[in-house]
Amino acid sequence: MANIIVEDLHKSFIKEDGGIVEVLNGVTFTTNHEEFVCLLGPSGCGKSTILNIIIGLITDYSGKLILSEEGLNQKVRIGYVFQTPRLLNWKTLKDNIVFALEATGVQEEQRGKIAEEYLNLIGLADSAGKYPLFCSEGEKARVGIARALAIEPDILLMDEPFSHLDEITARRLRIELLKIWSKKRKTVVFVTHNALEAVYLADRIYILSQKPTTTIEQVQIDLKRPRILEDIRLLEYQKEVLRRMGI
Amino acid sequence: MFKIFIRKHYSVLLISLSLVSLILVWWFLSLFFRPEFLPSPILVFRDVLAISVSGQFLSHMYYTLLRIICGFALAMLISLVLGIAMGRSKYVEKFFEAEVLVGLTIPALAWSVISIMWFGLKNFAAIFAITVLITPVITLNVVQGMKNLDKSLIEMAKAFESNRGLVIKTIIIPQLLSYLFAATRFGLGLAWKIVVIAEMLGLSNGIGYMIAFWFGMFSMKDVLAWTLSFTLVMLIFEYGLLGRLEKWATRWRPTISF
Repeated sequence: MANIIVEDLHKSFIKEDGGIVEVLNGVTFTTNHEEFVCLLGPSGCGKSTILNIIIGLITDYSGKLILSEEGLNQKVRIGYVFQTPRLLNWKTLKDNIVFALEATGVQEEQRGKIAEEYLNLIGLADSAGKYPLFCSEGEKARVGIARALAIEPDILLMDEPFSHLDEITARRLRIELLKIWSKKRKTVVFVTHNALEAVYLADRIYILSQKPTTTIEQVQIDLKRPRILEDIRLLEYQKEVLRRMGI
Repeated sequence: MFKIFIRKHYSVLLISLSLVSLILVWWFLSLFFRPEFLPSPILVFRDVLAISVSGQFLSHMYYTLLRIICGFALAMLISLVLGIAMGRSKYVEKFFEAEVLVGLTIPALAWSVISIMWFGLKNFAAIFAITVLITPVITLNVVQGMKNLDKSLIEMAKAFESNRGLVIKTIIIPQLLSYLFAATRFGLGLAWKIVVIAEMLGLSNGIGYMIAFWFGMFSMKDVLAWTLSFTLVMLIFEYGLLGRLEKWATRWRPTISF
């Protein structure tokens, strides 16, 4: 039962000229076990900052952050899918996943097998030996997701992973992501500025304000899965969410 | 069939054609001069063969290569330490900037003279000359490589809880590699030029010494034979060995075509 509890998160950066930029001004949200939560906010509102705090890349912030694994006192493992895939271009697709497994401390004998299993999951089993610079953006994005899943995380953080893809590829990948998620249930925090993407993917949406960012409110999406993008109720939800964002 | 063959091997064919025509031009010109001034390529190649077979060339080449390799390895070591330090801290960079620039400007001949005056007629004089000459060049390359490191990949590794050793091995070194290859090319190119000067001035063996010796005898044929044999070995080293190694190390990069 892996959950995230974030309470009243504050963070400011010091600019090079000495000025202070306030990025987060009281962000609060929680996730339930195996829930798909979207953080929806305008571009440049500090969404990535929130994820970087959760993963531990940013350590000087104020507020409360609890990553809990119920009943156990062990460390919660987090998988991170970046905005751009951030693959190692000098390693094959398979070795990119192997790298993440090695970094996380998976036994050497198991790494190859696990990497192949996850390449298979994203439909790239035949491209295991390909180098990233010979792959399409869609393929690279898939590997970024497979890499995060391969370490068997309790929580999956996704930072607008489809925002730099063309819409058709992005749609295809959203469908695939939900398929994979239905097989390998995780608690997911998915950051996006795309309202339609949020209502299509999420169980629950937290709407964020402009910088300095606060959580405005949350919207529960009560639609059965698998969802259809053209579903009229989905579009109603989108309208509702956009209204609450003030658009 | 013939067309496909040409298309496939055009680069090798063109290089061979270019070399053959160069030798033909040389031969043609040599018809108009005395052999003491411009010997025909046949005479020179016969000499090349003779010094190769007698083992004379090999024994002198051994000393020259030894000096190059030692000097180069030393320079690489210093440059890596210095370059990484300079790339990581702007204070270290500013501190050593002047030294690197001065080092780049001092002529190779000056370094040869200075190191022979300091260390005498010994191997180490040549090694020292090579090291001080090429260290600034390689250092600059390493600094450049450090500055162009992709920080987002290091962040990615941290997100996957990678330790420092793994980050250096799989993320930093592969990114520095192409800069190191460029530095090696350039550094070795300078090294062969200065080692010959140092040997000429103050050592009693090596290719430079032999060229100087035949210069003393005023034999153009032998000067050319030694120069050509040496150049040939260096070419094989650079294109055969280094070129292949680089191609292998950068096989993950698609070749760019304009």
